[in-house]
Amino acid sequence: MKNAHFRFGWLTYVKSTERAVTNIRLRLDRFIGEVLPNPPRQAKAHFTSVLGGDTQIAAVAAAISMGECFMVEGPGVEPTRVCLERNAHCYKGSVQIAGRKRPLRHLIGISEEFAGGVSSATDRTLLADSGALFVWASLAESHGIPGIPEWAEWFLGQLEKHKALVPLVGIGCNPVLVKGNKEQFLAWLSDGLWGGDIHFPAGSGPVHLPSFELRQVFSPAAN
Amino acid sequence: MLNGVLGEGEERHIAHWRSVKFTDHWEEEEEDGARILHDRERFSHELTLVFANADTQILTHEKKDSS
Repeated sequence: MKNAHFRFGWLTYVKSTERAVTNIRLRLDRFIGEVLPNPPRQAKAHFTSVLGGDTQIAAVAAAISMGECFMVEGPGVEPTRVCLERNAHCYKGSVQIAGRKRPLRHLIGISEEFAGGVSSATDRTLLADSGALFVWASLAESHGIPGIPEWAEWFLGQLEKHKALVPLVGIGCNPVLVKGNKEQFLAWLSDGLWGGDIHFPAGSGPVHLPSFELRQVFSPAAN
Repeated sequence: MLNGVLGEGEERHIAHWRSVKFTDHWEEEEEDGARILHDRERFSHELTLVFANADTQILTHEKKDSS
């Protein structure tokens, strides 16, 4: 695992008024964003996690609630203008650091779409990790698709084959956007079974797809 | 409710249950021309099946899809 200053990015918030310019720069430990085709270097943020002092965190939380934009940069991420857009959710916490009098403040911002899970209207599913088992288990759970863990690698291959897997910009994670709906996914499963690419298990009984904790999805070692 | 592999022969299938929110929408028109829009939300179960013969089915309380 790399040291934090190699892994973390920066979130910069600049607010200009007639009287003053406020410039806040916070450490960004996790980020998920979707680059917009036009204009370039602009993205819709889906998840931001920043650390800082009381005032800085309060200012950024207020900016998120007002739908304002930020600049984000980090390892492998060029400076990009991002916005969480309307109805973003904010969660605040404190991190007590040994040797510091005051705790660090922690702020998580989540876009309305990411917080809401699957959007049936747009057939989009945002996922925080691109691992085969995580993608398969997440889609099976959210769409209600029957299957077994052994089909995970095959299903990921189907997503790639049908160009339904779009990598997102990530800091501290490997997020993806999955395009498609339940009917499509079931049709692929049907084709896979018909063609012999996937097989039913020999025995009967309950199927348990794995569940993932946040620490697994956002583990620095996974990057 | 059991998510798992069930049945024998042609009936062998994998089942997956989930809760789904259904929204009923209807409109009423009053004598004075006013329109009343109704939205009723409720939760119900949805059962999705994949059969060993490659058939799939989505079963709910109100419709039956098969492919």
